[in-house]
Amino acid sequence: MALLQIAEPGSLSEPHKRNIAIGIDLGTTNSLVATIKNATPTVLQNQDDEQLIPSVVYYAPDETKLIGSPALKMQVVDPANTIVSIKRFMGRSFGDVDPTISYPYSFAKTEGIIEIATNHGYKNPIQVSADILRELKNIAIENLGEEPTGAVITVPAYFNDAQRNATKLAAQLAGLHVLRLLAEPTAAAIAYGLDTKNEGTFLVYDLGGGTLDVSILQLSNGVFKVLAVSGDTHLGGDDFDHCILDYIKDKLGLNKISDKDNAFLLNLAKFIKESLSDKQSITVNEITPGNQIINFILTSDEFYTISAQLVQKAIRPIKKALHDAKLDINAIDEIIMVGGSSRLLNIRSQITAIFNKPLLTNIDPDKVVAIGAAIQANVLVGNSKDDYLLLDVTPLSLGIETMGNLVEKIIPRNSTIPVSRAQDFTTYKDGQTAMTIHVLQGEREMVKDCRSLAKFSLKDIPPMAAGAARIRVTFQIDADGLLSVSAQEQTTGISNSIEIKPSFGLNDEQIAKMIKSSISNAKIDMQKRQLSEAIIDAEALINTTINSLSCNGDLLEEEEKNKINQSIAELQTQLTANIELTQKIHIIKKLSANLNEATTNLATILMDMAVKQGLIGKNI
Amino acid sequence: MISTLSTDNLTKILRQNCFEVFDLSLQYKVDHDALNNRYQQLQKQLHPDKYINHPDSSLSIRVSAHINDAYNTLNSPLLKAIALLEQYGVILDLNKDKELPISILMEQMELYEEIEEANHDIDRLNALAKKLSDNIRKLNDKIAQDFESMDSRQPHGWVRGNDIISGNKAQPVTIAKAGVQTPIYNSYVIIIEDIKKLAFYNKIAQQIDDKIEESW
Repeated sequence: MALLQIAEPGSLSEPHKRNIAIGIDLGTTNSLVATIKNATPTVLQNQDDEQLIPSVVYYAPDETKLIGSPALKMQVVDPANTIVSIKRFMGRSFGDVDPTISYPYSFAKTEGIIEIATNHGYKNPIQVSADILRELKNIAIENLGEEPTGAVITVPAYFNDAQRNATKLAAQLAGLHVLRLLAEPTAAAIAYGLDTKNEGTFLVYDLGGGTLDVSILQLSNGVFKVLAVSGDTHLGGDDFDHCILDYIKDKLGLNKISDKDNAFLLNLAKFIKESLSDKQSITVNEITPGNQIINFILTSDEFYTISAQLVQKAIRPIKKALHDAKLDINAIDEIIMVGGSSRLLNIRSQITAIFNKPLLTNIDPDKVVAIGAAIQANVLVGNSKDDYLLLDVTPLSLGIETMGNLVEKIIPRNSTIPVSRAQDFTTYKDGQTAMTIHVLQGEREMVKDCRSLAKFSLKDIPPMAAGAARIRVTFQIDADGLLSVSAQEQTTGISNSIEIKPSFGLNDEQIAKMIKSSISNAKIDMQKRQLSEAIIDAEALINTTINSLSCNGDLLEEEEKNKINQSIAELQTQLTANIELTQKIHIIKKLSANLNEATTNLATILMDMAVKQGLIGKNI
Repeated sequence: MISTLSTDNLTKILRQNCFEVFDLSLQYKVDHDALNNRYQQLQKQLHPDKYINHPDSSLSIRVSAHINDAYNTLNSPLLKAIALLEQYGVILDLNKDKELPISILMEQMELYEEIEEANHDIDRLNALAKKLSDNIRKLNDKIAQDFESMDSRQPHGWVRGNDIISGNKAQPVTIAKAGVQTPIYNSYVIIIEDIKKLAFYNKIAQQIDDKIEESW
């Protein structure tokens, strides 16, 4: 018989009625998972007490997969199987890979989605991201003892439809219920806005590892309205690393070096960049794995000079965002700095100079996005009493191909989402029953300069004379920033079937294959959950027993007390033991049962006491 | 916490025009404070974020998009004018009806020349942008007057009956050109000309804007 905890009726909340919502910042360099614990946004830690989980996956020669810091350590050892900065490849095709950057990976030369050869076979960016997301989910389960009911995943504001779709699919593969995709700068603004409760106009400058976002938002009457977003999906801290790497190679005349040495120097470059955020100069004295001697001094002034072009590029989107929001510099009340790379001194000094205002940095720029995502997730599952609302925008114009390879815009950029626009099309031949529509995203006029999102066929158009049919096609962008299309013939009211072929996404077969392989991972997820549940139950049992012993221990014989204490000690040592999952679950459950058994007598005594106390002063 | 709306109420909003959505009277001058308040209040009630795991979640996407569209229309003088004109029974489709009024042909040539000459000189482009926005503001006031004078001459109910232009609904300009000399047709002619002029100014302003952006 288990120890009974006696509590006032209704004073304990039902543990399974909680909606646990998590916010995930799936970053280029690091990823984080946060939740609201006791009304406070908290970034969760893994078993090594880390909050920033490196977005790195290592596919070992055997079946093992390492994620986070252990994977990052493999970068120098086995760069080809250590996937870093996968976010840069999300929603992109092999043709999009920047040929000027040397990657240690071998890519499959296929059309469509990028695939990287690893020890575990070809992996696409969605699968690699799903591996990272699964790890984050497990961290949440270990901390919370329960599967989260829903997650908000952040994406760069400037992500296009293909990139957003890829992110959502990765989350689904990882077994997460996606409540919303949330723009990273918007998440940061939520974290600050709800923290300060200041109404006004915010500019969020978010420079991450691989992407730059600038957003302008207005907070009034509990509504966050994004006025404009701008940015560069190809600019981030990584570029500053590469800038320093090129400088080192150039300065020391290292033209041809091994991938291992290159990975070593890239890490060194990153370290130098970070050091120059609070130092005037750095002296480097290192030897690469390939025995190259690296010896030089870099001052922050020199760093400013070699990175001047990058800084200019990183400042330009501010101007564009202000222009799009039809605001001038003085209209901005606060400037929020987000992302690890926003610590770069040359970036900070430029922005301070432009606005002539101090920058908001009091919430850790590495954590603010995850915190905002957790706050939003908590609101979306209905846990929060805050009735604020977020109105975001679509970052890129949506258009369709017209005659002469031109793009006709249908939904302009910075339109508040959700948004839908209808466009009428007609047939140009007698009896025509199908037509093809090409949907693109981007600001340029020519088809080749925009990102192709999908080509779809309208079928089953009732045969009519040329120009007589009127097919109304409705393009809808939902609150996640994702596109859907529907069509109806206006004169007959017949709905057309639409077959969408995403240009840079996955086909159904690929998706099915990915889902199948994610099921085997789900088994491990389930075991991890069982383990953390067992641990939480065991801890609760230990606590109750210790409390009861300290209050009423004198009611027991010494021998019985010793037996209980011994059971507690046995169970406690196993809680932190580093053994195989299923075995650990089994042991903890068995030892918990032992402790329960040992406390049967104590429980009976306590029960009797409680009953007697309840009867005192009452006449039967 | 504000409660969400019923399925019936959501569907009802989908059928409302941009003025009805925000409880605004059918006139060109819009009370923007009232509009903003009503917009925020509505979105707080029916945004898809309030319908997570709710059977009406996809309906709420459509209604929320409809509200955004209505708000956008009322914040754009050009879209607002076209929407209001439609309430008078006149559909003006600028994609099909591209012919410019003769009164602005001269101005058009001058503006194109000025843009050409400014090339990528940012100061001259900014000056041009300023000139355009002044023009747009004046024209906006003029259109407001156009509509007001029309209001005073004809009650909505009569004009909206659509009798006078039945059969020609899609080509109001043709009617105007036919030279029918009743006061109501004259007001249409003036308003349609002014709206086309506004569309033209917007287009030029956009071109200047693009050039300014290119010069960064």
